[in-house]
Amino acid sequence: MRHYILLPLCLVIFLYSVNAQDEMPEQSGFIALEELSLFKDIETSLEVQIGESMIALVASTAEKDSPEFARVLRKLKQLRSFSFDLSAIPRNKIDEYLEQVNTRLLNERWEIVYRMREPETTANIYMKTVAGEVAGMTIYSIDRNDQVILINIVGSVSLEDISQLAEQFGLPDISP
Amino acid sequence: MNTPTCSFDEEKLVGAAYRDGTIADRIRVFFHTKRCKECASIFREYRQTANTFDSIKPEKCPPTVTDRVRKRIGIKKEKSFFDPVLDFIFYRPAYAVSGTAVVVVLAVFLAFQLTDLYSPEPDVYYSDAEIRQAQEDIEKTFAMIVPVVQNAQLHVRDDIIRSQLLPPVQHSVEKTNQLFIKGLQ
Repeated sequence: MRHYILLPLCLVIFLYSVNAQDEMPEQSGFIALEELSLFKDIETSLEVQIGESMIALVASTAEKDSPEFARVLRKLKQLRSFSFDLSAIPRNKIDEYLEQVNTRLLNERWEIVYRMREPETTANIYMKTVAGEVAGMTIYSIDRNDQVILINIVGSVSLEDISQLAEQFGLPDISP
Repeated sequence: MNTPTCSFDEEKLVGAAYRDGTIADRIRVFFHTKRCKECASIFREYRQTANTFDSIKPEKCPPTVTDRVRKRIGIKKEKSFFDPVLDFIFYRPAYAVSGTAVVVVLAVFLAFQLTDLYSPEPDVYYSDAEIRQAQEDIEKTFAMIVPVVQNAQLHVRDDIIRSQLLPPVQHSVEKTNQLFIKGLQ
């Protein structure tokens, strides 16, 4: 009798995994940023959570004035960012926290593509690829005032895409 | 006929009453009963009995009984399309439960898939103010990302490619060139 129960059970597991795979490409670039905010009693100073439909609307609004920005936006599925002040937290605790964030991202198969260690700022850029295509980007940065920024972009956006927006934000274009 | 007054064949009379005899016998009986009242009376009695028998509906025999009888007398049952399915259900309850579970799982899965497929997208309306706010938020976020990404690219281009990667490559190319030049001389 046990064998006959196994058949539908295997089918359930198979269908569930097929269904999960269907959802994977869209969600694999996602990370729950709120779970990375380990200091629960510290309020976020900036919290942005924008979904695909709103991003599409903003892209169509921006199309006329800045087509390059609109083009990059069209590649996004979700944009989330958190910013919070850790100046009240001892430095060693902050380092410990950043290490935990790093470990968590690496465990979730995010690849670290850049580490910035400068006197003013420390930042890491992580990317996740699924089937050779970028599924998302996560960035954390902490400045000398211990302001932490966590950003998660879901979508096939590349570093080049973002870099090309420099002029849009009043930064010099560094493209060769 | 075994009566003192008529010598007509009783078997033919009964056969005709039960609609069993040949056509010729039945015609003979018909004309005889027109003439012989005694035989006509007997014919009517038999006919009434035959009609009563006809009116009795045959009791349907359970298939298990007919199957057993067929088996006993060596007649193979004509298999229908559904017979293997019925055998599967009635003779192997475990298979039937398992099969039913598979069908139920597939049905539920398909129902969910179809619901997802045909459920209309929720109508979401955003006001202009909301769109402007979202644009500001996106720009703020990108304003934070762009310098970091630019820094990363500058670092890769200047520090890694120009300072670390290019010198050994250049050195190797120069060495190779020198070998070629020596070879040509």
